[in-house]
Amino acid sequence: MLRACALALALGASVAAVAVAGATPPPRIVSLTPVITETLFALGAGDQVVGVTRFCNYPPEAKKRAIVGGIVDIDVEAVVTLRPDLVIGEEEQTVLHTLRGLGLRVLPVKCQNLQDLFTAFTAIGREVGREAEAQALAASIRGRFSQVAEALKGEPRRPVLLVVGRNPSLVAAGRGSFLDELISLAGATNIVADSDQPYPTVSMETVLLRQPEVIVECSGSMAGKDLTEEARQAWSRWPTLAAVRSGRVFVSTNDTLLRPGPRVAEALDELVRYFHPDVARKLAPPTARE
Amino acid sequence: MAAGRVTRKRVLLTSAALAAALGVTIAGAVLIGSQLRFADVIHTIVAGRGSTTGTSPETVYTVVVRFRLPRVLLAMLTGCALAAAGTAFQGLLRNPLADPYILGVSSGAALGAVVAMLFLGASGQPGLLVPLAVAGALGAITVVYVTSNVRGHISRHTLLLVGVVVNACLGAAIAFLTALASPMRLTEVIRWLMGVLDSPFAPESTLPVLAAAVAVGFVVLYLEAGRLNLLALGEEPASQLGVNTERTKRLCFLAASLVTAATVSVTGPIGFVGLIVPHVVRLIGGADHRLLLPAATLAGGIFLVLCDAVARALGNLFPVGVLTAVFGGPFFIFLLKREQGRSYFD
Repeated sequence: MLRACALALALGASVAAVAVAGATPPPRIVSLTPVITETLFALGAGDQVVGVTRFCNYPPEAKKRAIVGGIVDIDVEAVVTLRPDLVIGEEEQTVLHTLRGLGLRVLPVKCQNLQDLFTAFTAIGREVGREAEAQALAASIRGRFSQVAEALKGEPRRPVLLVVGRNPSLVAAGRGSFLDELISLAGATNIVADSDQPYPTVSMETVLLRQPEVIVECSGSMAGKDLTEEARQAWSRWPTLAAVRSGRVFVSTNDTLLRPGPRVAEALDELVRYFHPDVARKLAPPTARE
Repeated sequence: MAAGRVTRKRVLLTSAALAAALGVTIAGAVLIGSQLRFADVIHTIVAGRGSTTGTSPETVYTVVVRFRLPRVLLAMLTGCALAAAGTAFQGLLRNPLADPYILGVSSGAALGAVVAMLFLGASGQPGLLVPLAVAGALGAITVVYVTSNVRGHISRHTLLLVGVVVNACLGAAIAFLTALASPMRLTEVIRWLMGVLDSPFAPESTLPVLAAAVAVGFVVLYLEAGRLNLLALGEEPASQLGVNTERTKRLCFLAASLVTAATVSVTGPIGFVGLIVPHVVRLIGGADHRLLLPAATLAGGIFLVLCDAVARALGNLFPVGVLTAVFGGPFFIFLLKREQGRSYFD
């Protein structure tokens, strides 16, 4: 009952706000990456999103929005004709310069590591008028991080490898990537934590010498085919690897492992399941967010 | 058929017809895009009335005049420049495989551009890409020119060899740098290396500079066109006919290289235009450079504007360099077949 009243009040307030503002239409937002799309929806601004990329598959609702291209092949005309009040993109997307040059309001954000991500939540929240939601989202993610840390106390830190690409050569999550941070949070040690770039190419020699005890292949849902068999077979050629011998080679098709976004706590939970299955079983399910 | 005498009148008439065709192509191309119906654009821009589908006139104006028009003009200039430079290099090197990029100009520009993209950052100093690309292109030209200039004599074989080696070295340097790039940067680099007409690093203000460079280069090449014809007979016969062959070679090399350097620094290396367009025009109109050069230049503009219009209509999915090869290649093979492989090249 209380809820219904609050809802009615909120509705009434927003109708009033629109009536007062009159000339200013509600912001129409175009998102240029899946992470930004997920963030906008997670902050409750999904209704303001009018354009997304063809890779924006989460939440399912996002797939109903107009598509403005891929991530590197944004169709400028498609963005402009959506008449967005705000375009949010990754700062590395050079198309942002073009869009700004055409007079559009552009918010560049960076989403490489976890700190970037929390900064991006705040920036996006401020820009779309959802600061409280942004704070709550960050708090809930941090909350889950400390729950997991608590549960992992005293557990051994195993050497692990996260593979994010395998053709033509192995590409791993290295220092500076959010996955490297998640490995630490999930109670393991990244065997390529000394890399000089976030996603280094790794030689098989390095892998053989550093003996990961768990290997996770993050193939995402958009690989176009199921890479599970391919990856399993590729690793089975190296029975000297501890991870292969003990059957701890996992293939994940969850996009959360390839996207530093609002679902990053789910990604952490998944890694804990691979690295510390016993702890994962005991770990309480994440508390549902409002 | 086409080998009729090349008179001044024929050159003028052909050029005028092609220039008119280029004008029509440009007008048509700005009306085409991934969004906005044809009728909408006519209604809003030409008739000055509101759009039929409720798109605001401001939006139509932004898309057509501020986005499409500069890009179409850039496509025109680039197409003209590449075809002119390709014609000149094919004549100068007397090699049918020559194109504007054969002597390393594009690789030099690409190296400069890649350095700008990878190390100076998209959000940092985007304005540095074009200057660095120009510097790279000029550096490559200098190395090739100085190396192949042996005691005041430039041999086309040396030129070609040095060019190919410089290309290979610079290509290796680019491959080395891209190995250090983050995935998103890498994709940008790869797209640039295929040629882009919508580079956010090249503001509209580069258009007049580019136009001036292309115009100067074209005039120099056109003034040498007659001597380029004689050069096709071989250097010795040409000198006996009174051609200062070294001067002609030097002027053509420099003019064609500078034109290429200017365009490739803005758009990246757009393939096929500079190779195929001169051949197609030669198949149709003969190998006399006095006609070939202006005709190929205008045809290059038409061809690239058309390819870019298709690229834009497909929503920017493919870089224009992919489309030039897709359309240019089969058309060339068709023409060659129709002409029964007529030997049109020395």
